[in-house]
Amino acid sequence: MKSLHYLFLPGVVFLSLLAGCRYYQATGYTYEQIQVQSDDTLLQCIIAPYREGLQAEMEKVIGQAAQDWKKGKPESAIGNLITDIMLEAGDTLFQHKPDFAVYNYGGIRIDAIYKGEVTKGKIFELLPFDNTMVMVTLDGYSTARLLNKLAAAGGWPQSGLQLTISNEAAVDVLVQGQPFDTSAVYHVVMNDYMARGGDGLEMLTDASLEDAGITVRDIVIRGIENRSAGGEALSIETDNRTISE
Amino acid sequence: MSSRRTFLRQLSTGGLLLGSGWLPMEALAAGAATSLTILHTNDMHSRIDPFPDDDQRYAGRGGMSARAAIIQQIRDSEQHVLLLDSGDIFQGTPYFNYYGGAPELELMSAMQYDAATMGNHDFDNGLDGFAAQLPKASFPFLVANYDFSDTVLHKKIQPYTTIKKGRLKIGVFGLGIELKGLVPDRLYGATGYNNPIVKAQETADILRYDEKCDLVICLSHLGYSYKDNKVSDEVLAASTSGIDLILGGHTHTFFDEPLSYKNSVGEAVLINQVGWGGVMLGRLNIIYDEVKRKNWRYTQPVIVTKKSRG
Repeated sequence: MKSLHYLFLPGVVFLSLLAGCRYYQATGYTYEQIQVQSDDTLLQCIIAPYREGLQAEMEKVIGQAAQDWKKGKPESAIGNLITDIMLEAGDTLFQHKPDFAVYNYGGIRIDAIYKGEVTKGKIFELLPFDNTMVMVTLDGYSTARLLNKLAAAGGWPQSGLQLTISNEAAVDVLVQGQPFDTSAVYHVVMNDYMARGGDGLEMLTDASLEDAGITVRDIVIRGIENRSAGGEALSIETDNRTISE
Repeated sequence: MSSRRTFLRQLSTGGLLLGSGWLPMEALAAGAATSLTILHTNDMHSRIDPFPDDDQRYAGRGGMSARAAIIQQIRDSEQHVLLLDSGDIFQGTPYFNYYGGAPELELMSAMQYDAATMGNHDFDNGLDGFAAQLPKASFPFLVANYDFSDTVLHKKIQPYTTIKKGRLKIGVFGLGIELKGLVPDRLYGATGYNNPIVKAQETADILRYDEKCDLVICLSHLGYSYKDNKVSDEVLAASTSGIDLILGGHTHTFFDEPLSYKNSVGEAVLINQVGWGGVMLGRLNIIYDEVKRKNWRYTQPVIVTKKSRG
């Protein structure tokens, strides 16, 4: 794309008082938003040693996707996969069995994992941040605020809950099949970025926190490997656990 | 496009792209017209290789080698080239997880970047992580509204720089987004955050009046625009004066063309942003003409010859 624009310079008023003076005047500009795409290898000499250091590891196939696993709201295949694996892993990583898992939508960094081979590198693209998995213990009130935040954002990935989003609030909430109870204490698995108040989750910063010391990414990689141990392609579907009204 | 019509209309009501936009007689080269080429990127997010073939949006696009080749081509045909980045260089591919940003900065140095600002993800390995990689950058990092004085980055990040290209003196400064709530506290430590609008005006005034720059460019990682009243490039453009060009980032916005806004004194200020991941390179050619006038005369449009890229 190329375009051309003209400029009008009020500054000339003052300059012209210096009769006969010569100066440079900015008269306009052209612009171009250049598509970057070529097979050029100009900087490969710098890139190659770095690439070789991680390529073999990143190209490892950890499973097969039976269909495209997309990212989306209020619920998505990729969001369900991540949080299901987190919740399951939480059973053995923490002192207490977790009630549910949530993941901030913005922390999922590619739109989809497409049908076919799933490589370790793809999960690095999906979850690039080195955030560790943690479990926070919340009272009913803080849990309600967390769920409303999740609902107001249009639905973040979660596992262990059944909820409906109505007027940006979470309603008809079931936790592990039981109605939500404001007097209960809930154990919630998430990443440490969220637990430390990231993405507008200030309500979590005072909660007690147990850190598994393992990145969510590593947990998800292991989870996919475990689920793929039989060699079958993994089928991940949405199941209406989060409904938007 | 409607946005282009808007832009032309704004200019014809007396907008001013380049606040001073001229050079005194003694600074003149013997030749006639000259041009300054500004190339810019934002939010490259460690995309060293092109996007993989299975990417449904950007397959095969981007990549540092491809970008370097385009930049080299442009340098071959243009005398005065500025290459700038608006932050979030780090994070997004395993290159960052494995090497902490070293290849990104080495490659940008090889491409001869002139300056960059810091994005929120450039804090992802903490202040120490950033400081450790900084020696690999042959270009300065500029942020006018972060206060690093109680951190390891003290005196390693500067608010602005000035660059001479031919007879032109260009002022470049950077603005960072509020880190609280966006970046874990432990990663940015004692970094202080100052109001970007206040710092932008202060810095633009220094560049315009003390440094006598002909062109003032802001590298912003504030984000282009928000639904609420959060500070953004749009807000920055409207609330300040003396900035000619805001090269933005953070919101990963793909502009079809640079957009013109009115600044606080009614002059035009351009904003541009080129998406993310290095799939695009922004290019602006500012054209300067040698002008001779004997009579007082109000502004008149000057038709710029369309230039084509090889």
